[in-house]
Amino acid sequence: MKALKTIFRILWTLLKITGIAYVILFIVFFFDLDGKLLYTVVEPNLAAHYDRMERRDNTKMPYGKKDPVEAG
Amino acid sequence: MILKTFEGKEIPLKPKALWEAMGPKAKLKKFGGRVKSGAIKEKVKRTADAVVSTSLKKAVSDLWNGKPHGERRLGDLYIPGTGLYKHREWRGVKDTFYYFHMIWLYNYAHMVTDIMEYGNLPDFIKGTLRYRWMGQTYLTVMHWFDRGMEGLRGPALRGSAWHYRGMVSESIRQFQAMFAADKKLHGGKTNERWKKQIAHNETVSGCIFYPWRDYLDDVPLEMIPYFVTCHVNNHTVLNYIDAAQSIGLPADPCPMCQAEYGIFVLDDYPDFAPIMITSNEACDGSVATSVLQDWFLDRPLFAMPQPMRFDDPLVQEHCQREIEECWKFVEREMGIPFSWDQYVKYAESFNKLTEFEHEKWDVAANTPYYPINGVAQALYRIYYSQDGDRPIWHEIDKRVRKILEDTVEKKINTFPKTRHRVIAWSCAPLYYSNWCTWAYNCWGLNCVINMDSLMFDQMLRTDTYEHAIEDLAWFNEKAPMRAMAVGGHEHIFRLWEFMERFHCDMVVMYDQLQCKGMQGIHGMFEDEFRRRNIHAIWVPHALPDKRTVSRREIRQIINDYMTTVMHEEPLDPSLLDFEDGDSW
Repeated sequence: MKALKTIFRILWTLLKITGIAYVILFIVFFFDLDGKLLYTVVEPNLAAHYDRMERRDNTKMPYGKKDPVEAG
Repeated sequence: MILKTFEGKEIPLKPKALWEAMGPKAKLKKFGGRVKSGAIKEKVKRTADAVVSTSLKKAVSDLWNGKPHGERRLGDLYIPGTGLYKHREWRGVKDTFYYFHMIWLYNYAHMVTDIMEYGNLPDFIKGTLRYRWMGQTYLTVMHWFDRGMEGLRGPALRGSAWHYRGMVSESIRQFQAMFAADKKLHGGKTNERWKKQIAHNETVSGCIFYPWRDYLDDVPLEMIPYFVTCHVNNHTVLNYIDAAQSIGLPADPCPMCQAEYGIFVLDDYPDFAPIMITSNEACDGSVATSVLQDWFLDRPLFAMPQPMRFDDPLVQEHCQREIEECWKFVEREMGIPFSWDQYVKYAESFNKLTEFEHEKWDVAANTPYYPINGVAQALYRIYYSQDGDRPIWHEIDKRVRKILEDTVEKKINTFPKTRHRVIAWSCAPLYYSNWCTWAYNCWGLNCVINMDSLMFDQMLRTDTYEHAIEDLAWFNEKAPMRAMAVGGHEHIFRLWEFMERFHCDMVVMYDQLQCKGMQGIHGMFEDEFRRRNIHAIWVPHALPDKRTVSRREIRQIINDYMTTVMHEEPLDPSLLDFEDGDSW
């Protein structure tokens, strides 16, 4: 009986956690909180990161490496 | 770290700066501004009117079923400028929770599982931090769903969302394939995956590589870095267009070609394969892309041009020989022989997708029960037919078939507020591919079919090698933009035939301002529209570049036509004019 009670208590706790997580996710979904976070924080910081990134200058690559094309 | 406000200001993520920008003083100032402008008064009045005029029965019905089309006021949901929602749309209990469970939660969860299935998490993180087109775009993917599916209900919501799901999954497969082999993410070293992949232009059909599908993976180089990003988050592509022009390349060719080589100028391309196959599709601008890619990639490259006047019988043999030369190039460079059996296997599998596409067109053309909206139809069709046979397309078609058959059997009118059946012709604005969702919600313009969907309409025979190569050449020539837009005026004028076939009474005629081929035939279209007494709305745009003609301007053009020529009233006046210049 005691073991059954423990199982029920664990199941009840799991149900409560799932229920709370579900409600939180629905709030995030309904109020577009995912979009707002991405727009206000994630995207501007990622864009700044890409702007700062050092990049190879591809135009420095010599163009004359290819074999000459024979006419005809 | 910075924080961007909805007004577009960037604030350092520090307590003092945040307090000054968003504290009570700033909020009070903003509120004062809204009181002065009368916005608060108007909102209070509208809410009071709504409360007074709504009975309890109506309120319960609106909660349970969602508001009827004319009362939704979808435009009020937007945060001005951003395209974000104050809150997502309440579509009634059933459809809101379908959206929450089967679209929002399902797709976020499957984005994670797909990343694990097609590659691994470390490569994904490295790729996200390395490539702008990756990090800045793919995190915003659920908003792409939102924009495409605004106002949809029932089977139309379900069918369209499955199409989007297919595209997301295939996109993840492609970028994970690139990242797994990418030399730039693996210390400049080549791995086994790198040796077994073929890179190709996004406009080279995946069908070309069927003879090696079980041994080699063909991955289109620009499909994810360029094409998909324009639809999902069009902020990204502007960097590449500007980069192309920054090294002195001209600004007047097609911006698609500019963006494609801009990726190389900015060194933002993954190095994931030992060889490259390019194409001249759809125009001479693409030839320039191939030349520049040949320079920047510096590896064996095969250029496989398609003839412009493709249905000239004299060019068929030539086009078939081009494909055979390409196959020889792959054999030579990759060391794996051509497999006829594999070609047959994948071509026959792909034919099943084409067969279902024909069934879909039949329902779209002849009934009001078609459960796919304009943007889902266009993007899914162009994506899978360009990409070639992949398991995800069959999985999606199976699901959509079930929805389609159910909708037809129950005779559910999927777009009940349709006032005009629209065909969209020529090349679409990639930054506003969801214009048709807006047009249906605002004006009842139901975009039944579009030109890009009608490309690649070619079954691939597999009974003999001669038939196979003949059909594959035709398939290759019927590629996007080539088959109709720049393939000769008799093809672009097939519009009249398709208008009749799909029972359309209106045309939305895209006017790609930097497409020289289409600009050349503009006047002839004007004449034909007048002669045939067809209602046609010209929609100017610059393909991926929203700075030339904004989305708001596109809406205004359609609004003007609907009020001044058609003398119609909008179904949802809140959607007539709103600012979304900074939206994804």
